[in-house]
Amino acid sequence: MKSNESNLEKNVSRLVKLSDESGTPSAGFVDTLIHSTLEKLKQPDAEITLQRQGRFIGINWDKVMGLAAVITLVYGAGLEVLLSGLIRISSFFTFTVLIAMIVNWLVYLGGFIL
Amino acid sequence: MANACDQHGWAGISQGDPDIWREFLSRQIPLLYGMFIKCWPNPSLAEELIQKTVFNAVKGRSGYDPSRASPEKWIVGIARNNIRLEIRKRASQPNVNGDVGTYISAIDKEPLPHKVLEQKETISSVRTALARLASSERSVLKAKYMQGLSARQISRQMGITEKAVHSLLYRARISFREEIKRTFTTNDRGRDNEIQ
Repeated sequence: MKSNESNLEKNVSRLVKLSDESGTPSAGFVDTLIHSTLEKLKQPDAEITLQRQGRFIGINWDKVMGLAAVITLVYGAGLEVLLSGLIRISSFFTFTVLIAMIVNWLVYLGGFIL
Repeated sequence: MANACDQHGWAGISQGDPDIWREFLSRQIPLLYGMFIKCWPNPSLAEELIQKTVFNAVKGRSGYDPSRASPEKWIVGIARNNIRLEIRKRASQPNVNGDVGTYISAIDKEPLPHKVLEQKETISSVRTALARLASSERSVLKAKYMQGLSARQISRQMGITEKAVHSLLYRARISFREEIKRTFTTNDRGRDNEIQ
């Protein structure tokens, strides 16, 4: 409902402006823009540069950390499922699974060595 | 060739001197507005592009070299670049193809595309719809959206309370919506009759 009102307000504003034949921007718009520009200028150059760099690096770190967290969670969950399953089944089956894993690893590594 | 005094002022642009920027912007904003309006007869788009140009200039001020060009040429260069970007953006947008009425019927659901606002049909319908409104509603819409006045300024101008301004604006928007929809419905019927 609120978004409908804001859409209506935005559209009415844009439509009403169409009837302006002055060919100049409104004084209100000019004042607001100058005011917000001066506010932006108050930020020192170094701060803006640092912010930009921080944002750039921050995005990369966010992605890296997010990916690492997802990988850890998935591996953790997988290990939990595997271990809980292994506890429930018989020790013989556990032994068989472990042997199979070791053999698989040996075959895999053997492929590299040979 | 610029003299030393000019260059001193120009250096104030790259240093972010607030007085120089204020003076510079009050001269440049109307010129940029004219430049954008020439490309697209759409005041709200012109305002968006001016804002973008000015903020780009503020961000890139440290890279501005007064020995290479005047600040006017520099900001016009940024504006031209924004025009090129807008043209590229528009190339990927669908054409309106005389379907303005459909967009207008969804006026409170989605923002109207710029291409709809630039249709001659839209501009004439806006004028008709505004003319049909009560004079107080028309005045409040023009004061708010054309002159860009705040509710307080409008209340002083019209001699009513701020609360009354807000409620008048609300009613005016609803009336305008109904009138513009009616204008398009009438236009569509007229077109259908002509075809028959």
